[in-house]
Amino acid sequence: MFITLFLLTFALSLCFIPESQAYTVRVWCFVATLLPMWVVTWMWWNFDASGHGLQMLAILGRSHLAFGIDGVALSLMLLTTILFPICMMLLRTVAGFMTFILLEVLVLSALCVLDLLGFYILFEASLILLFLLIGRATYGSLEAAYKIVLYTMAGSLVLLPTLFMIYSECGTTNVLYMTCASNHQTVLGWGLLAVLAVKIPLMPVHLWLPEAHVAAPTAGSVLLAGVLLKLGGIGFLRFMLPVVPEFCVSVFPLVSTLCLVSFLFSTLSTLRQIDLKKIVAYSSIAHMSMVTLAIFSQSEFSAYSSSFLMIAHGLISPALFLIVGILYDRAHTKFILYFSGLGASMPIGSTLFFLFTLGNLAFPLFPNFIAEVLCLVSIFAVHELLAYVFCVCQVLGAAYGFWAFNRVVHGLPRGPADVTRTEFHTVLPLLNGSVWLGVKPMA
Amino acid sequence: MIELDLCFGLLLLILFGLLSLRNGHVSLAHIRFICQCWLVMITPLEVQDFALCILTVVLLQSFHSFEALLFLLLAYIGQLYMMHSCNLVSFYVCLEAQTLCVVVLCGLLARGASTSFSVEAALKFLLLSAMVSGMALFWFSAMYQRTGSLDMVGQETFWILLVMLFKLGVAPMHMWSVDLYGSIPKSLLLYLSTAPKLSLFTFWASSWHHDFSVGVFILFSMFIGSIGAYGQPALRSLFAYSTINEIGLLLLAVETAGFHTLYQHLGIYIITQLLLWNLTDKRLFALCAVSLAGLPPFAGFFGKAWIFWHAMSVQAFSLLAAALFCTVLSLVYYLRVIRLFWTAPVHTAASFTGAPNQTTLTSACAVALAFAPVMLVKPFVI
Repeated sequence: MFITLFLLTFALSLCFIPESQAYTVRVWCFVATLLPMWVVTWMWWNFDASGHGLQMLAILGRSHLAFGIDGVALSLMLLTTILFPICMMLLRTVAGFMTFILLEVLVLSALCVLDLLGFYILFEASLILLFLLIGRATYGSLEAAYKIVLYTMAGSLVLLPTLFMIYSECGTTNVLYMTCASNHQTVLGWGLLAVLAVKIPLMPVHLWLPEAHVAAPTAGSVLLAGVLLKLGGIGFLRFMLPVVPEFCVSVFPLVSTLCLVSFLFSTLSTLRQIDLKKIVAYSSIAHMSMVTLAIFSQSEFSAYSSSFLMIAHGLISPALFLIVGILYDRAHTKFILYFSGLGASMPIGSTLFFLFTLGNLAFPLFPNFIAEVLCLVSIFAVHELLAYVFCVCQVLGAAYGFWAFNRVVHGLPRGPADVTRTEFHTVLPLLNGSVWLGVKPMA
Repeated sequence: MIELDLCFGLLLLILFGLLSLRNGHVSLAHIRFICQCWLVMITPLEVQDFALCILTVVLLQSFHSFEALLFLLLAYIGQLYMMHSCNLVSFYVCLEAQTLCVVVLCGLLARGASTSFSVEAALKFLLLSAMVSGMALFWFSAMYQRTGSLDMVGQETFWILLVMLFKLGVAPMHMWSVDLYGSIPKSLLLYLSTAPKLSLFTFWASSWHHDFSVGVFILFSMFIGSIGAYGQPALRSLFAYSTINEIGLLLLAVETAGFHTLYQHLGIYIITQLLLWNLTDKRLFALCAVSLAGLPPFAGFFGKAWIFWHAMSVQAFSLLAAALFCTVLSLVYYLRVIRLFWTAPVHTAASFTGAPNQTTLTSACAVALAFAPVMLVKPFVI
C-alpha cells in the first residue's frame, strides 16, 4: 500500500547518496528493508480476517490505479518483507543493494495493486532488474538471463493485447470492476494464462527457472523462489479467477494435465541433476504446479490451500537455497558429487539441511504437509483420480530429497567448516517460521 | 507574403553570416543563435510546425560550420512547406530540397579520418534518392499528362508512398539507412534520425490521404529490423536496424489511423534518439536502450503500448501479432546492448567535439521526458 511504497522510495532515494563505504550502505539498506516488515505486521494486526473482500483499499483519485489487500496478498507481503532483510544480509555490492531495493518496491506494489495494467507494468519492470542480476559478469550466466527475460516477455506480450481488449470493453483494468468481460472470456483467459504460466512455471515454459536459479546469486535465488514465483500465483488468484471463471473451468483439464506433467517431470528430473541448486529449483517447479492445480480446482479450500502452500514453499525453498549458498561459499561449487560427509564437519548445517529437506517433501510438523494435504483435499473435491495420482507421486518428492541429503551429508567426510553464526541467523527466521507454521498454522 | 519574407530573411542571414565570419569578431555561436531565433520567428503557429522548429533549433546546436547551418535552414524550409503541401510539384520540390540538403551535409561534414566514409555515404544516399525521386517525377508527369492536374487529392498516389517510404527508411528500401548511419558524423545522425521522420509523418498524417494498405511494408520493416541487428558489430548499424523496427511500428500506427498514437510514439522516439546519441554515461545509454526496447516502466513501453492498443481497437489482429512477435525478437539485441553497457567498466569517455553544454542541455531535457512516463500513464488509467 501507500505507506510501504513511500517507505521504500524514501529508502531508495536515500540510497542515492553515493556512499563509497559499503558497510554504511549495507546497514542502511538492511534497516530500510526492516521498515516494511513492521508496516506489514501492523497491517496484519489491523486486518479483519473474517471479511471476504479486499481491505485497506486505496484508490488514487479519478484513475484506475488502486491498491488493496486480501488475505492472500497480505500473507504474501509478510513473506516478502521477511525474506528481503534476509536477502540484504547476503548481499555484498552496492549495485546489488540497489537492485534489491528496487525489486522490493516493485514486488510489494505488484502484490497489492488491483489494476491489471499496473500488475503487468510492475512485474515487467522487475524483468530488466532480474536480467542485470542474473547476467552479471563473473558468476552469472548470460544465457540464463536471456532465457528468463525472453520467456516472460513473450508471455507478457501475449497478455498485452488482451489487456487492451479488456480496457476497451470494460473501460477499466481495475479488477474490482472487471467482471463484465463475459463475451471475451476465452481470449482474455488465454492471455492471462500465457503470462502467468511462464511466471509460476508450468510445464512447457518452465525452462527458465533452473538456469535462472543456478546463475543467480544466493539472495537472488531466495528472491526468485520465495517471492517472484508467488507473483504468478497471486496473478492467478486475483486476476484470473474473479475475471474469467468460466475460462478457468473450461481450461481445467489442460491446466491439470500440465500441472501433473510438470510435477512428475520436475520431480523426476531432480534425480538426474548434478547441481545442488538445480535440484532445489526443480523441486520449486513441482510445488508450484501443485499450487496451480489447487487454484484451478476452485473448490472450497482452494484459495486458502494454495496460498498456504505458497507461503510454506516460500519459507522452505529460500531456506534450502540459503543452505546451498552456504555450501557454495565454502567450496565455490555446487557440484553435488563434490560434497560428501558434511554431517561430520557441519553438524548444525546438516541438521538445518535435514529439517528443510523434510519440509520440502511435506513431512508432518512442517507447513508444507498441512498445505499439501489441503491442496489435495481441494483437488479431491473436483477430480478424484488426479488427487490419487498426486498422492502417490508425493513419494517421489521424498526420493530426491533424501537422495540429495544422502549424497551431501552422509559418506566420507570432506570437511568444510561449519555454519557460522551470521549464516545461522540468516537461516533462523525461516526455520522459526516453518516450525511455527507447521505446528500452529493460522489464516 | 510569408514566402518573400522568408527568402528575404534567409538572404539577409546568408549575407550576415558570410560577412561577419570573415570579420572575426562574431563567433559561430552567435550566428547559430541568430539562426535559431530566425527559425522560431518564421514558423507559423501550428503544433507540428512548431515541433519541427523546436527540434531543428535543438539540432542546430550541434553543428559547427556556417554552411552546415545554412543547409539545415534550407532543409527546414523544405520540410516546413512539405508538411503542408497539397500539390504534387510542391511536394516534390520540397522533398528534394530537404533530401539534397542532407546529401550535401553528409559530404560536407567530413572531418579528418572519416572523410571517405562521409563522401561514400553522401554518394550512396544521393544515387539512391535520385533514382527514387526520378521515378516519382516520372510518375507525377505521367499523372499530369493523364489528368491535367497536379493536385494530390483524388490521384493515384502510390509513388508518393514509395518515395516517402524510401526517405523514411522502410524495409525493402532500407539499405541506405544502415550504411548511412554508420558513416555520418554524430550531429548529422541526430538530424537524420529525427527531423525527416517528423516532417514526413506529419505530411502523411495531416495532408495526405493514402488509399493503400502499407501492411506489407510494416511486416517487412519489422522483421528485417528485428532480425537484421543480430550480428551487427557496430552500434550505429544496430540502432539503424532498431530504427527500421520503430518505423515499422509507426507505420502500423498510420495504417490503423491512430495518428495520436503515432505522434506520441514518434515524440518519445525522437527524444530517445536525441538522448541516445548525446550521452557519455554508459549506464544511461543502457537505460535508453531499455526504453527503446519497450520495457516498462520507461516511456518507450507506453509509446508502443498506445500503438498496440489502437491496433487492437481497430482489430488489426494479424499485424498486431506480427508486431508483438517482432518486439520479442528485437528484445534480444536490446538486451545485448543493455548488458554490454551496464556492466562495462566506466572509464572517462574520450572528449568528443560537441560542446559540453549542449550535451547537458539535450540530455537533461531528454532524460526528464524519456523517463517520466507518468504523463503518459495518466491518460491510460483514467
